Amino acid sequence: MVVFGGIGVLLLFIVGVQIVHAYNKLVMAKHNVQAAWSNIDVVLKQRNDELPKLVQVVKEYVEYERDLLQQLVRARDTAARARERQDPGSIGFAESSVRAYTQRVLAVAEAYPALKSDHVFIALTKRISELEAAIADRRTFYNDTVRINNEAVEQFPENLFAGRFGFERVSPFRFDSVVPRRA
Amino acid sequence: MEAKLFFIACALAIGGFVAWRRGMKMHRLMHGTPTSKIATAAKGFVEITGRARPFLPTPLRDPITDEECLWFYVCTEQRKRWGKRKTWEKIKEAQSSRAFVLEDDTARCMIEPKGAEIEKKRPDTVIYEHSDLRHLVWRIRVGNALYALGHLERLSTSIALPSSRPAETVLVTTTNGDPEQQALSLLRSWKQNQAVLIERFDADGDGRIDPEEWESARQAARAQVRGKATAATPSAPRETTSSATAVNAQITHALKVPQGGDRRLFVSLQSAATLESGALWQKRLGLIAFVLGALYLIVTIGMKIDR
Repeated sequence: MVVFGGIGVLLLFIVGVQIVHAYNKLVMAKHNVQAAWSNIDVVLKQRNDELPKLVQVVKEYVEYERDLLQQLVRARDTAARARERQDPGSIGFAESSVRAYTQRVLAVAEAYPALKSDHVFIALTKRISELEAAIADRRTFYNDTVRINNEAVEQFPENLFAGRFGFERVSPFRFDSVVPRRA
Repeated sequence: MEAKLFFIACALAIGGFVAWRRGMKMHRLMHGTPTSKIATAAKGFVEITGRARPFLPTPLRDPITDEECLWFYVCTEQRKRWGKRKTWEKIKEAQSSRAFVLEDDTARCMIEPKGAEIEKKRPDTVIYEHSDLRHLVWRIRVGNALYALGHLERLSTSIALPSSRPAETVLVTTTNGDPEQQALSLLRSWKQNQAVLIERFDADGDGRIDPEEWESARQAARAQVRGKATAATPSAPRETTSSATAVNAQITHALKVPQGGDRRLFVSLQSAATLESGALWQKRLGLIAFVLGALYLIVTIGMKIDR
């Protein structure tokens, strides 16, 4: 009798430890996703803060591309609004537009030697390029944390109680290919 | 016999439980932390992989075999007899405290062994002095693939990675070109990173720079500035930057012991996949050992109570 009771307690103990471990795993996955998102958000904001300066410098040299510059400004504003909603899906699409228009502006600048040798323009393009590299690396990192979170939420035995405790699947952060509209 | 089995079961239950919990924590940490690139990782707890590089130009050598390495742990064991059984017992150990560098394809990060858990699986070298005394050496060498978990921070001043020509490692200049000012500027840049200062000038190993050691640092800074001055040509333009720049690469980050929680600064020569698999097996075998030990204890004690 005591033996069966003891075995029962042992099994309960093991199940309890496993549940605690599974819960902690879900908590860690969720916090990692939040931290990874904050880290991308910071760099996206820094990149987007450089864009008005880029537009200003380009405007001084490039008379005939005002529509393109306005589209870049609109894309940036759309991205800023999407970031306020904190939805990776809509932010991904908005940021894809920002990247596409930024690349177009930089491509157009190639045709203006005076602009290309402007030291402010050179510094800005270097900074934007570094930030784009950081965004790319942090996006990969964020998507890895999302994958780990989604696996944890869907795997047995975590899936038995993930929903009950508010742990959910998260969407990855994708950049869609956007073709900038010709001005 | 029964008492012996009882103690074995206790040891199995306790040891198994500890191994099970440790395996669970390590597996959760490793599996749940994706690999970051040093250059673009945010400050915080990260997992990084790369190659080991030296932090200082002077090579480190282990005290047993005098082989060059970046880190060593040496352990001397003596064989002791317990009745008919013989076991190896540790009688002496030593570990290097010099920092080393982990380099991935984006940047370099310094790691200080103090406070770090550097995994020691199979020793690099085992030397038998005689049948009852042996020395075991574990090393990290230049170019070894490393895996590390820890708290990543950007250094306030980047440090030059040592080149093969030590005179070129750091160049610091001030706007007025005065050698004494240049030496002061160089000292200030060294002071930004206490770890570097202690590594280079803490002769008595007490973890502090006393006045005599500080004087050595001053002399070294003056010598370094003099070395650059004799190499410079009269027509060479004066450099105006006051930050340390290296001929070769820069060490821009440091991996430190995380504060609080069950996270740790962990370094291993094994790959992430091998370590994760190892942690998973430790978890499983620990659970089996715990269950077996606990079952034996429950059955033994339960039967005694039932009688």
